[in-house]
Amino acid sequence: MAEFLIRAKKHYMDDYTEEQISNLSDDQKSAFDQRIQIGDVVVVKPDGWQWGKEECLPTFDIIKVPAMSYEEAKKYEQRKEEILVGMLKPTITALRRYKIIDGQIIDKIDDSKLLISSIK
Amino acid sequence: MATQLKKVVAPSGGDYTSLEACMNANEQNLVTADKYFDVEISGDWTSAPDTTVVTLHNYTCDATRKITVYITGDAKHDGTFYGNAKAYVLQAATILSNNTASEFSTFQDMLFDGNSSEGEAFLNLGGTDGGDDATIKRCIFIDFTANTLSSAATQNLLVENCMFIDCERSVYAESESTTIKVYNCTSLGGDYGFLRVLCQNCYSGEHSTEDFFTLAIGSDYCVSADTSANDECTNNTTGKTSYSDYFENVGAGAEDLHIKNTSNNLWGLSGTDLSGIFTDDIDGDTRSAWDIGADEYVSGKVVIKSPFPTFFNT
Repeated sequence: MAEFLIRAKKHYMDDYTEEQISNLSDDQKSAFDQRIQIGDVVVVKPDGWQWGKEECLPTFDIIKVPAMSYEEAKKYEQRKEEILVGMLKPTITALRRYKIIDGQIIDKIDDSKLLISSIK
Repeated sequence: MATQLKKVVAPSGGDYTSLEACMNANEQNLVTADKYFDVEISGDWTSAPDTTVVTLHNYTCDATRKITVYITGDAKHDGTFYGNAKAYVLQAATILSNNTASEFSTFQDMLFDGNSSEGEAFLNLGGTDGGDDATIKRCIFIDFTANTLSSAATQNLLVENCMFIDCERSVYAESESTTIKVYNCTSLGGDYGFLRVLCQNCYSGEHSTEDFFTLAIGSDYCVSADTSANDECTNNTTGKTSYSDYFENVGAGAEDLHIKNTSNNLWGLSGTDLSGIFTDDIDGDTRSAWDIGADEYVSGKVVIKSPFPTFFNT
């Protein structure tokens, strides 16, 4: 059994204007594109985990998934990595590959959805 | 005047139970907010290891408004990887930084376990475009299968009083324009020790390819098991391969790289005085002889391993 710490609050850079984005350096733009999104799986812990005082709303939500083992759930911490045109090695394009929205785990790479039985 | 933003990462009773959740939740422009960010890691981590990869990005720092990650109390190591079971270990181990987020940042007294499967412990840490250093001090790294610490072009990194055990490449600068300074570090086992970095007062041995490789100009006062310290450093000693004579324990799974005597007695060489940069060793002991490597030998020092003995008043 596993518990997911999910990002619930929007990122401070979500409100950046076009001008602010255009002023970012290449490195900063890359990090901006990778920033955490609402619903992203941030951390996976075993069932019954004693979360910290700030691992709760408004920043995070906790979803318990009793039907999934911790070992299986751990893969949902993966980053989104893709091989971009002209690159030999995978590039991290988002901080997380998976997000949980409305009881579904969504894979951002192939847009597949996995229905889960969860408890908030 | 900048104000402190402080968060505690602990297995219980803290703000967060993983370093990643802490860094994720607090991303911000620290310069605009006029804050410096202190992350304290504390508590007994025996049954709650931190296994989530950490990403450090989307922070903006400067010389006073910066990030410091430090360890206190039970969570602090005893100068060895295995000596304190309660110590905080980041097992998932990559701390990835790909912009100026880590400029000026400091990570200290942490243990990193690559579990023989994780590639890198720190990737692209440090300031860019000639920016200022990130600092890693008094940390121990074990069983990484790629570049344990590495930086891309123009990034600056200061590594002091760290130990690397069975890491494929301990510290590696991907570009010659990178400035990585490695002071008083010890690397034992793996493929390469220190590559394309500035090394001073370092011991490197038991590597299958080379202990030191293409070091930066200014590298000095180093000791190697092979002949590479002589190729790269003005003051050097080579051929020092009697590992069990030098270190407290070199047995797999019980490594303790505290030295058994002064480096001058062991290897015929003391280091240069770097007290303008730091004055301590991996245990926090004050340096005086400037022994080579992460440990300063202290005569007569008794290291009490946990669990600590109980004394009865009779």
